[in-house]
Amino acid sequence: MRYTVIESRIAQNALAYSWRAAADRQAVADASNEIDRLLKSLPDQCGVPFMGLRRLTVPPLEVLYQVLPDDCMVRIWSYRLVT
Amino acid sequence: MVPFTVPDPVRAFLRDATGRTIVRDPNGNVLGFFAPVKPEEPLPNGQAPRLIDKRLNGEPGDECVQRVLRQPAEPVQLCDEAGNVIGYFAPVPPDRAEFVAGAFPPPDPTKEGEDPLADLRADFDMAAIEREMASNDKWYTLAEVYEHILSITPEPYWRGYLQAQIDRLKERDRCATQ
Repeated sequence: MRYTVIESRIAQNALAYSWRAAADRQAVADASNEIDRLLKSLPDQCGVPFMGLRRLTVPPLEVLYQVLPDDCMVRIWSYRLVT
Repeated sequence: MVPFTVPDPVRAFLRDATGRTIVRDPNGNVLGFFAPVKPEEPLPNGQAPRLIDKRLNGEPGDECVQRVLRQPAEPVQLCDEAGNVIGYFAPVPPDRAEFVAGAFPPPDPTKEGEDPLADLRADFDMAAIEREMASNDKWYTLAEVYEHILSITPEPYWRGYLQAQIDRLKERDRCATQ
Protein backbone atom coordinates (compact mmCIF):
# COMPACT_ATOMS: atom_id res chain seq x y z
CA MET A 1 0.00 0.00 0.00
CA ARG A 2 1.28 3.48 -0.87
CA TYR A 3 0.61 6.34 1.49
CA THR A 4 0.30 9.98 0.57
CA VAL A 5 2.75 11.98 2.69
CA ILE A 6 1.88 15.61 3.45
CA GLU A 7 3.58 18.20 5.65
CA SER A 8 2.22 20.85 7.99
CA ARG A 9 3.25 24.49 7.96
CA ILE A 10 5.42 23.92 11.06
CA ALA A 11 7.16 21.03 9.31
CA GLN A 12 7.72 23.08 6.18
CA ASN A 13 9.16 25.99 8.14
CA ALA A 14 11.45 23.70 10.17
CA LEU A 15 12.77 22.02 7.03
CA ALA A 16 13.30 25.38 5.31
CA TYR A 17 15.21 26.76 8.29
CA SER A 18 17.29 23.57 8.55
CA TRP A 19 18.14 23.87 4.87
CA ARG A 20 19.06 27.51 5.23
CA ALA A 21 21.29 27.02 8.28
CA ALA A 22 22.68 23.48 8.13
CA ALA A 23 26.39 22.96 7.63
CA ASP A 24 25.66 19.91 5.46
CA ARG A 25 22.71 20.67 3.21
CA GLN A 26 23.18 17.46 1.30
CA ALA A 27 22.67 15.46 4.49
CA VAL A 28 19.46 17.36 5.26
CA ALA A 29 18.12 16.76 1.74
CA ASP A 30 19.11 13.07 1.79
CA ALA A 31 17.39 12.60 5.16
CA SER A 32 14.16 14.32 4.10
CA ASN A 33 14.07 12.24 0.90
CA GLU A 34 14.61 9.05 2.89
CA ILE A 35 11.91 9.99 5.42
CA ASP A 36 9.48 10.66 2.58
CA ARG A 37 10.33 7.30 0.99
CA LEU A 38 9.93 5.34 4.23
CA LEU A 39 6.68 7.01 5.18
CA LYS A 40 5.19 6.35 1.77
CA SER A 41 5.60 2.60 2.17
CA LEU A 42 6.00 1.58 5.85
CA PRO A 43 4.76 4.41 8.08
CA ASP A 44 3.46 2.16 10.85
CA GLN A 45 6.52 -0.09 10.85
CA CYS A 46 9.26 2.51 10.95
CA GLY A 47 9.68 4.94 13.82
CA VAL A 48 8.44 4.54 17.39
CA PRO A 49 5.15 5.51 19.08
CA PHE A 50 5.18 8.90 20.82
CA MET A 51 2.20 10.59 22.49
CA GLY A 52 -0.31 9.19 20.04
CA LEU A 53 1.94 10.01 17.09
CA ARG A 54 5.18 8.41 15.86
CA ARG A 55 8.73 9.71 15.63
CA LEU A 56 11.37 8.54 13.17
CA THR A 57 15.07 9.43 13.13
CA VAL A 58 17.08 9.62 9.92
CA PRO A 59 20.15 11.69 10.91
CA PRO A 60 20.49 14.62 10.90
CA LEU A 61 16.66 14.86 11.02
CA GLU A 62 13.98 13.48 13.29
CA VAL A 63 10.34 13.70 12.26
CA LEU A 64 7.07 13.60 14.19
CA TYR A 65 4.20 12.15 12.19
CA GLN A 66 0.73 10.69 12.27
CA VAL A 67 -0.55 7.71 10.28
CA LEU A 68 -4.15 7.81 9.00
CA PRO A 69 -4.55 4.25 7.68
CA ASP A 70 -8.16 4.65 6.52
CA ASP A 71 -7.11 7.51 4.26
CA CYS A 72 -3.74 5.95 3.31
CA MET A 73 -2.22 9.20 4.48
CA VAL A 74 0.72 10.30 6.62
CA ARG A 75 0.82 13.77 8.14
CA ILE A 76 4.24 15.12 9.09
CA TRP A 77 3.81 17.57 11.96
CA SER A 78 7.39 18.69 12.55
CA TYR A 79 11.10 18.13 12.02
CA ARG A 80 14.00 18.64 14.40
CA LEU A 81 17.77 18.34 14.10
CA VAL A 82 19.40 15.50 16.01
CA THR A 83 23.05 16.37 15.41
CA MET B 1 21.15 33.31 -13.81
CA VAL B 2 20.76 36.93 -14.90
CA PRO B 3 23.64 39.31 -13.97
CA PHE B 4 22.51 42.32 -11.95
CA THR B 5 24.93 45.19 -11.46
CA VAL B 6 24.72 46.81 -8.05
CA PRO B 7 26.14 50.19 -6.99
CA ASP B 8 28.63 50.91 -4.20
CA PRO B 9 26.12 51.26 -1.33
CA VAL B 10 24.81 47.72 -1.96
CA ARG B 11 28.30 46.27 -2.12
CA ALA B 12 29.23 48.13 1.05
CA PHE B 13 26.13 46.77 2.82
CA LEU B 14 26.97 43.21 1.76
CA ARG B 15 30.72 43.47 2.42
CA ASP B 16 30.59 41.65 5.74
CA ALA B 17 28.00 39.12 4.50
CA THR B 18 30.59 36.36 4.32
CA GLY B 19 28.07 33.52 4.54
CA ARG B 20 24.43 32.76 3.85
CA THR B 21 22.63 35.98 4.71
CA ILE B 22 19.03 37.02 5.32
CA VAL B 23 18.52 40.64 4.24
CA ARG B 24 15.75 42.55 6.03
CA ASP B 25 14.17 45.96 5.58
CA PRO B 26 14.03 48.37 8.56
CA ASN B 27 10.73 46.79 9.67
CA GLY B 28 12.31 43.34 9.86
CA ASN B 29 10.59 41.98 6.75
CA VAL B 30 12.82 39.75 4.63
CA LEU B 31 13.86 41.41 1.35
CA GLY B 32 15.75 38.37 0.15
CA PHE B 33 18.50 35.84 0.68
CA PHE B 34 22.14 36.47 -0.24
CA ALA B 35 25.03 34.05 -0.68
CA PRO B 36 28.56 35.26 -1.45
CA VAL B 37 30.23 33.88 -4.54
CA LYS B 38 32.80 32.17 -2.34
CA PRO B 39 30.81 30.20 0.24
CA GLU B 40 31.90 30.29 3.84
CA GLU B 41 33.58 27.04 4.85
CA PRO B 42 31.99 24.92 7.59
CA LEU B 43 33.78 25.35 10.90
CA PRO B 44 36.37 22.65 11.69
CA ASN B 45 34.29 21.25 14.55
CA GLY B 46 31.39 20.53 12.19
CA GLN B 47 29.28 23.46 13.38
CA ALA B 48 27.20 25.25 10.78
CA PRO B 49 28.68 28.35 9.17
CA ARG B 50 27.40 31.51 10.81
CA LEU B 51 23.91 32.33 9.55
CA ILE B 52 23.96 36.09 9.02
CA ASP B 53 20.89 38.24 9.54
CA LYS B 54 21.37 41.80 8.23
CA ARG B 55 18.82 44.51 8.72
CA LEU B 56 18.77 47.89 7.02
CA ASN B 57 18.38 50.42 9.78
CA GLY B 58 17.75 53.68 8.03
CA GLU B 59 21.35 54.86 7.77
CA PRO B 60 22.37 57.04 4.81
CA GLY B 61 22.54 54.81 1.75
CA ASP B 62 20.05 52.27 3.08
CA GLU B 63 17.27 53.72 0.96
CA CYS B 64 19.39 53.08 -2.13
CA VAL B 65 20.17 49.50 -1.01
CA GLN B 66 16.49 48.82 -0.41
CA ARG B 67 15.46 50.33 -3.74
CA VAL B 68 18.06 48.30 -5.66
CA LEU B 69 17.39 44.98 -3.88
CA ARG B 70 13.65 45.35 -4.48
CA GLN B 71 14.19 45.48 -8.25
CA PRO B 72 14.89 41.86 -9.21
CA ALA B 73 11.82 39.65 -9.59
CA GLU B 74 13.83 36.43 -9.60
CA PRO B 75 17.22 35.20 -8.35
CA VAL B 76 20.12 37.17 -9.80
CA GLN B 77 23.89 37.17 -9.89
CA LEU B 78 25.09 40.35 -8.20
CA CYS B 79 28.01 42.05 -9.99
CA ASP B 80 30.07 45.19 -9.62
CA GLU B 81 30.41 47.68 -12.47
CA ALA B 82 33.42 45.76 -13.83
CA GLY B 83 31.35 42.59 -14.11
CA ASN B 84 32.95 40.79 -11.15
CA VAL B 85 30.43 38.49 -9.48
CA ILE B 86 30.10 39.22 -5.76
CA GLY B 87 27.34 36.77 -4.95
CA TYR B 88 23.80 35.61 -5.56
CA PHE B 89 20.54 37.11 -4.37
CA ALA B 90 17.07 35.54 -4.23
CA PRO B 91 14.32 38.12 -3.61
CA VAL B 92 11.23 36.98 -1.74
CA PRO B 93 8.52 36.30 -4.34
CA PRO B 94 5.23 37.99 -3.34
CA ASP B 95 3.42 34.65 -3.21
CA ARG B 96 6.03 33.28 -0.74
CA ALA B 97 5.96 36.24 1.65
CA GLU B 98 3.74 34.47 4.20
CA PHE B 99 5.95 31.36 4.16
CA VAL B 100 9.14 33.42 4.58
CA ALA B 101 7.65 35.47 7.43
CA GLY B 102 6.71 32.26 9.24
CA ALA B 103 9.96 30.39 8.64
CA PHE B 104 12.34 33.33 9.17
CA PRO B 105 10.95 35.65 11.86
CA PRO B 106 13.21 38.52 12.96
CA PRO B 107 15.91 37.28 15.36
CA ASP B 108 15.28 37.65 19.07
CA PRO B 109 17.84 40.28 20.28
CA THR B 110 17.97 38.59 23.70
CA LYS B 111 19.37 35.45 22.03
CA GLU B 112 22.15 37.20 20.12
CA GLY B 113 25.27 35.03 19.98
CA GLU B 114 23.41 31.83 20.78
CA ASP B 115 23.26 28.83 18.47
CA PRO B 116 20.79 29.81 15.69
CA LEU B 117 19.75 26.17 15.46
CA ALA B 118 18.99 25.82 19.18
CA ASP B 119 15.23 25.73 18.64
CA LEU B 120 15.59 23.06 15.97
CA ARG B 121 17.88 20.98 18.18
CA ALA B 122 15.41 21.12 21.07
CA ASP B 123 12.79 18.42 21.43
CA PHE B 124 9.49 18.81 19.62
CA ASP B 125 7.35 21.69 20.88
CA MET B 126 4.18 19.70 21.58
CA ALA B 127 2.20 22.79 22.57
CA ALA B 128 2.92 24.40 19.19
CA ILE B 129 2.08 21.16 17.40
CA GLU B 130 -1.24 20.86 19.26
CA ARG B 131 -2.09 24.44 18.25
CA GLU B 132 -1.20 23.54 14.66
CA MET B 133 -3.39 20.44 14.88
CA ALA B 134 -6.32 22.59 15.96
CA SER B 135 -5.90 25.20 13.27
CA ASN B 136 -3.90 23.82 10.38
CA ASP B 137 -5.63 23.71 7.04
CA LYS B 138 -2.60 23.92 4.77
CA TRP B 139 -0.68 20.83 3.74
CA TYR B 140 2.24 20.42 1.38
CA THR B 141 3.89 17.52 -0.43
CA LEU B 142 7.67 17.25 -0.21
CA ALA B 143 7.89 18.54 -3.80
CA GLU B 144 5.90 21.63 -2.77
CA VAL B 145 8.14 22.16 0.28
CA TYR B 146 11.17 21.95 -2.00
CA GLU B 147 9.54 24.52 -4.32
CA HIS B 148 9.24 26.89 -1.37
CA ILE B 149 12.88 26.26 -0.41
CA LEU B 150 13.99 26.73 -4.03
CA SER B 151 12.42 30.18 -4.05
CA ILE B 152 14.67 31.31 -1.16
CA THR B 153 17.87 29.61 -2.38
CA PRO B 154 20.19 31.92 -4.33
CA GLU B 155 23.13 29.57 -5.02
CA PRO B 156 23.04 28.18 -8.60
CA TYR B 157 24.36 24.75 -7.56
CA TRP B 158 21.66 24.22 -4.91
CA ARG B 159 18.95 25.64 -7.15
CA GLY B 160 19.83 23.03 -9.76
CA TYR B 161 19.87 20.31 -7.14
CA LEU B 162 16.45 21.30 -5.75
CA GLN B 163 14.90 21.57 -9.21
CA ALA B 164 16.12 18.05 -10.01
CA GLN B 165 14.59 16.77 -6.74
CA ILE B 166 11.28 18.51 -7.49
CA ASP B 167 11.17 17.00 -10.99
CA ARG B 168 11.98 13.53 -9.59
CA LEU B 169 9.32 13.70 -6.88
CA LYS B 170 6.65 14.99 -9.26
CA GLU B 171 7.43 12.25 -11.76
CA ARG B 172 7.30 9.62 -9.01
CA ASP B 173 3.95 10.92 -7.76
CA ARG B 174 2.59 11.14 -11.30
CA CYS B 175 3.52 7.50 -11.97
CA ALA B 176 2.00 6.43 -8.62
CA THR B 177 -1.39 7.87 -9.58
CA GLN B 178 -1.50 6.20 -12.99
